[in-house]
Amino acid sequence: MDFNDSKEEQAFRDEVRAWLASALPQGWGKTVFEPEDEDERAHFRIDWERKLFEGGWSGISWPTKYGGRGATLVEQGIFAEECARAQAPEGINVIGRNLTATTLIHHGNEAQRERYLPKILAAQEMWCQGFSEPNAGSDLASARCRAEPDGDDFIVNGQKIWTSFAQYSQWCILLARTDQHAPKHKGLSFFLVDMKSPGITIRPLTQISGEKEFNETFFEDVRVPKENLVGELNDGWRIAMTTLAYERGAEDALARQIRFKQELDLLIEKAQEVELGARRAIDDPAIRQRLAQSIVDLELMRMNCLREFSKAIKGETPGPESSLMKLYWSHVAQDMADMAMEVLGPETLLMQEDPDTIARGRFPMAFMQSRAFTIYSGTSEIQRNIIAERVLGLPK
Amino acid sequence: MNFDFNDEQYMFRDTVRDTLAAQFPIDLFRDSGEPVALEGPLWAQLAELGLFGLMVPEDQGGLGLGMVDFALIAEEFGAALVPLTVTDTIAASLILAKYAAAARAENLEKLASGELRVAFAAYEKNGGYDPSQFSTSLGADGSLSGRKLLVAGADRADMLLVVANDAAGEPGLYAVDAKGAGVVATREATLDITGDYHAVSFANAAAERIGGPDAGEFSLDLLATIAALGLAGIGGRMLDTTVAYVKERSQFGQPIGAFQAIKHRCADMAVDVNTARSGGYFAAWAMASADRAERQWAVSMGKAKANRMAVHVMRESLQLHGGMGYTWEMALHFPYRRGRHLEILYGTTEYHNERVLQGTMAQLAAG
Ligand SMILES: Cc1cc2nc3c(=O)[nH]c(=O)nc-3n(C[C@H](O)[C@H](O)[C@H](O)COP(=O)(O)OP(=O)(O)OC[C@H]3O[C@@H](n4cnc5c(N)ncnc54)[C@H](O)[C@@H]3O)c2cc1C
Repeated sequence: MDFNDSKEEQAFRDEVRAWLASALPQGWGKTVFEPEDEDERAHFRIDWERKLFEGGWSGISWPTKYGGRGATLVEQGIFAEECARAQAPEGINVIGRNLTATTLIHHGNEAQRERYLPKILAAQEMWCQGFSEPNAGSDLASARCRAEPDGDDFIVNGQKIWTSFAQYSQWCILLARTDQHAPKHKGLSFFLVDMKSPGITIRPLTQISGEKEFNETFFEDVRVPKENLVGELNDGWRIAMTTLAYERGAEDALARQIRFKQELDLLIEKAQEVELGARRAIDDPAIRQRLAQSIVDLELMRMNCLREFSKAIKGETPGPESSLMKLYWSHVAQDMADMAMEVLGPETLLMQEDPDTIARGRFPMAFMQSRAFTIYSGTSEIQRNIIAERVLGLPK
Repeated sequence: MNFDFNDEQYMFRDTVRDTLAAQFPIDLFRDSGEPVALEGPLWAQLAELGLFGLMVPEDQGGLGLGMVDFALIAEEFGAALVPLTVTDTIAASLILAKYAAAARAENLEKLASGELRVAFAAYEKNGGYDPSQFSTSLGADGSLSGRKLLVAGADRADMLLVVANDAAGEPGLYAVDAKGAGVVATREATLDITGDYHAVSFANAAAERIGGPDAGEFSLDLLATIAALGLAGIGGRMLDTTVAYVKERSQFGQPIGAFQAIKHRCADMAVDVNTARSGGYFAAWAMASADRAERQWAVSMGKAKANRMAVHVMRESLQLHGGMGYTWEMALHFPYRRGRHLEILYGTTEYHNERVLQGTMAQLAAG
C-alpha cells in the first residue's frame, strides 16, 4: 500500500499537468467558464473530449489495440485528479466510454470492438443507454420493447424513457425482448442501435432543474442489423448486469468524486467570504462540523474507489459489490448538496441570473441535480436489495 | 501508488485471525468475568507469533515491519476485543523505535519478545482531547506530577508512556517506571468490561523524556489510528454476526433476513463498514508515510468515520437481534462496550472533524 506516486507516476502526473495548462483557455475556472446554455455546453464538452483524444488522454487504461494507452487504472486516477485540480470540464460521452466500451470489451465480438471502441475514444460517436421503460424501471427485467428477427435484421418496436443524452447520441445500447415466452430475465437481448435509423423519435423531458438532459425515445419498426446483437440471443440480462456494474462502479464514482470535491472546496472558500451577521460562516462551530463531515465523506469516497481499483488491477471483474460504491456516493453527495444550502445564509437561494448570487448559483443548482443521484443507475432501494441478497447472501 | 495490501500482509492477518478465533473467543468474557485473567495466555500466544516485535527493527529482535503491516492485524485485534494492553505495547515499540532507538535498544529487545509491557497514560479528567490542555506536567526538577485516566493494565505495566507538558508548557512524551516511586494505579469502574483500566497518579515521579510536541502528537495519532482500525474490526464483526443471525431467526414463517426492512439496514451497515476500512487503512498509511499535516488530517478522517460507523452499526446490530440482543448471554454488549470506549477515548467525531477542517483549509490556502 502506497498512496505516494512512484517516479514514473510523478512523471506522468507532471506531463498531464503541463498538458492541461496548455489546453485550457487562459483564466479557466476563474474568469472563463463553461457556456451557460445547456446545448452549447453539451457541444463544448464534446469538443473537450475530442481535445483530450488528440492529446492522447482518452482511454488511458484501455488496451492499445483499440487506441488506448494501455496504462492502468492508477494512471487513470492520476489523470482524473489532475483534471480536478485544473477544474477541467467534464466529458459528456460517459455512456460510451464507461458503459458501452466496457461491456463490449467483456461481451462484444472482435469486429464490434474494432468498429466501436476507437470512435468512442475519439469522441466521434456519442452513446445513450436505452434500458428503462415507462413500466420497467427498478424492475428492468420486465422491459417490453421488442426486437423480432426479419432476414438479416431485427425489427425493434417499443418505448424507452429517461434516455439521457439521446439528442446528442449517434448510438444507443438497447435492451429489448427477443423471447416473449421465456421467464423475464431469459428473454432479453442486448443491441447496438444507430440513432439515425428511420423510426426513432426523441422527445425531450424537462428535469426538476429545468435542464432537458433526458428523453423519451420511441422505436417504430426500427431495423437493426443482426451483427449489432451483442453476445448470444436472449443473454441480454447477463450482459446488462456488466453494464450496470460499471455504471455503479469505482471508475464512474472517482470521476464524480472529483467534481464533488471541487464543489466542496468552493463551498469552503465561500464560507470564508460570506458573513452571517456578526461572524463569517466558517466561524460558526456547527457549520464547521457539517463541512468537516462532508470532507470526510468525500475523501473516503475516493479511498473506496482506489481500493476497488486495486481489485480491478488484480483482474477481478466488477460485480454486485459495485452497489456498495454507488449507494455510498449517492448519499454522501446528496447530503453534501443539502448541507451546502444551509451554510451561506439567505443569498444561497439566488440563482445564477441574480446579481446577488453566490458562486453563480452553483449550490441551489447542485442541490436540485443531486436529487437524481439516488434514482439513476438503480435506486438506493434496489442497491440495498442487491447488497443484501448478492453480497451478504440474505434470502430473497 | 497501490491501494491494496500484499499477499504476505493478508496471510499474516489470516494467521492472527485463526489464532484469535481458536484461543480468544468472545464467550471467554462472558464465562470468565475477569478480563485480566484472560490476558496472560493470550499474551504468550501473541508473543509466539512475533506480534510484539512486528514494528521493532530487525537488529533489535523484531520483524522490522511498519504501520501498514500492522493495519489488518489491528483490525483483527479490534474484532476479537484483544486487550488494549497489547495494542499499547505494540504502539510503544513504534514510538520508542522512532524517537529513542539508541537509548532504548534494550527495551526494544524486551518489547519484541513480549517481556516488557507498556501502557499509554494520555487522557485526563477535565482535559478533553487536546494535549496542550493537559495538566500533567514536569516540575523544575524534571519530575512528573498529575493524574491520568483510563490507562489500560497500568497495574501490570512495566513502563508508562505519559503525555505531559514540560516546565515551559511545551507538550511532550515521557517514560515513567510504572512500579517506581510516586506512581499509584487505581482500578476504575468502566463501561468497557473487556479490559481493566486504571487512574494513575504521579507525584514527583522520575520521568525520562522520549520526545517533544511531535512525539506526543504522534503518539495520540497512533492510538487514534489503532482505535479506528479496531472499530472497523468491531463493525465488521457485528455486521457478520447480525447477518448470520437474521438468516437463522424466523418470524412470520420466514427468516427475518428476508424482510426488506431488515435487508436494507444490513446493506447500509455493509456500506458503512467498507468505508470505515478505507479510512482506517488510509490513516495507517499516513502514520507510516505522510508528513505531519497530512498525517493528522488522514488520521482524523479515519477516526471520525470509524466513530460514526461504529455508533450506527453497533446500534443496528443490537436492534436486529431483538430481545436476545439485550441479553448478557448473547454477548453483543462486549463489543458494543469496547466500541464506545474506542470511539470516545481516542477523540470524538467532533474533535476529529475540527482537525479535518483545519487540515483541508490549510491545504486550500496553500493552493
Ligand atoms: C436523471 C436521470 C437520468 C437517467 N438516465 C437514464 C438513462 O440514460 N438510461 C436509462 O435506461 N435509464 C435512465 N434513468 C432511469 C433510472 O434508471 C430509473 O429512473 C430508475 O431505475 C428507477 O426506475 P423508475 O423511475 O421506474 O422508478 P420505480 O421503479 O417506479 O421506483 C419508484 C420507487 O419505488 C422504489 N422501488 C421499486 N421497486 C422496489 C423494490 N423492489 N423494493 C423497494 N423499493 C422499490 C424505488 O426505489 C423508488 O423509490 C435515469 C433516471 C434519472 C433520474
